[in-house]
Amino acid sequence: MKLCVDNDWLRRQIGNDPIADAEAGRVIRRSADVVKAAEAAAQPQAVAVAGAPKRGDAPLALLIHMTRRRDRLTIAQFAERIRVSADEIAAIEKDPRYSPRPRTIHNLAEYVKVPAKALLNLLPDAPVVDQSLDEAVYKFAASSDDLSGLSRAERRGLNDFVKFLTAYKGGTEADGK
Amino acid sequence: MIATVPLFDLGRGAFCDASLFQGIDLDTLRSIEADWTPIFDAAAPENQPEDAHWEWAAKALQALQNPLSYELFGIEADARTQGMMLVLKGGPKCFSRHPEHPRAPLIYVDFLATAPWNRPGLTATPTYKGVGRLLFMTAVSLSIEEEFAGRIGLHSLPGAEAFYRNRLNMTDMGKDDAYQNLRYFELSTTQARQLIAARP
Repeated sequence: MKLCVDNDWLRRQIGNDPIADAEAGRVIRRSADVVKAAEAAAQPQAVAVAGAPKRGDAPLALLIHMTRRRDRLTIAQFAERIRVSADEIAAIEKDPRYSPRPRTIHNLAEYVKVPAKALLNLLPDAPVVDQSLDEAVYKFAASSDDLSGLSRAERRGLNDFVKFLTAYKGGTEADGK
Repeated sequence: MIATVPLFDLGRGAFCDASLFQGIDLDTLRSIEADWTPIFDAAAPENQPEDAHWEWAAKALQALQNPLSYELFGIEADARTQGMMLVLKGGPKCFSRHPEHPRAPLIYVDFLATAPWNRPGLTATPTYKGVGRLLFMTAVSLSIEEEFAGRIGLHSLPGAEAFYRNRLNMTDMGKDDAYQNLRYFELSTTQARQLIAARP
């Protein structure tokens, strides 16, 4: 990774900064705090939205899997195509609780040609706030079968689901608040 | 190591070189335990972690290699860890609450911690100035690399609010009752652009 500013910029800014605390987030006082923070960061993160039911299946994984099959791409090829790591695509497909990075959602949305906002509603953490989306997900899931290439019915199911997501105007509360 | 970066040595009144590195190893953890912890809780030598602690830490570090969802950064000078930061690249905290771009992806600073001898809140004569600025600009750089346009979110500890509000020009989004009532700050796309272009 390369810094977005050079050392001259840093010297000028640091020279003018007051002597001030800069602590943010969780308190770190010992090595165990660092390791625990990293362990927590590595876990799939749930969003606490009281009373909201959570999506029970893995529509995002299914969408990726079907799209890959439609375009006859391996995980590595697909990952390269949308400029994310193959490990992450594999994690999304294999772990229904895996919460992908926003960049992955953004790049995937670009590739599938649906609004990123619609894909956010497919995340495992997203509470179900719209019955129509849930119905579309179940219909999509029911249309798929894991064959090597997409059958006509599967292709129609994928197309219908992408069309639904493209037009989807609903929202989610899963934005960290 | 990512780069050699400047830190201001307040004792000498001059800049010196520090190392900005990515990731974490046992040496860094030992440095935190040996140098930071005793100052925080005045731990007696007999209270220092035993070998079992380091075996646990080594195993944990091994399991945490090549993370997809976060990055750890540290700054080292004088063979001591001067500051550390853990940032999240994905998950529910990584969506903007800023009115400029609601729900846009961002880098969330899970923690930014400086060594106790660099904190004016803990010592009357801090050793180095600039650790927080360096780590924050590292987060901005990662945000740009991740195609998040420099957007950053963090919960400031009370003593650091003025730094984030006034020096880094982040937007104060108010107290977050979902996070110990700490104030939540965001650096928007526009603010990130202005920050990088800033001339003192």
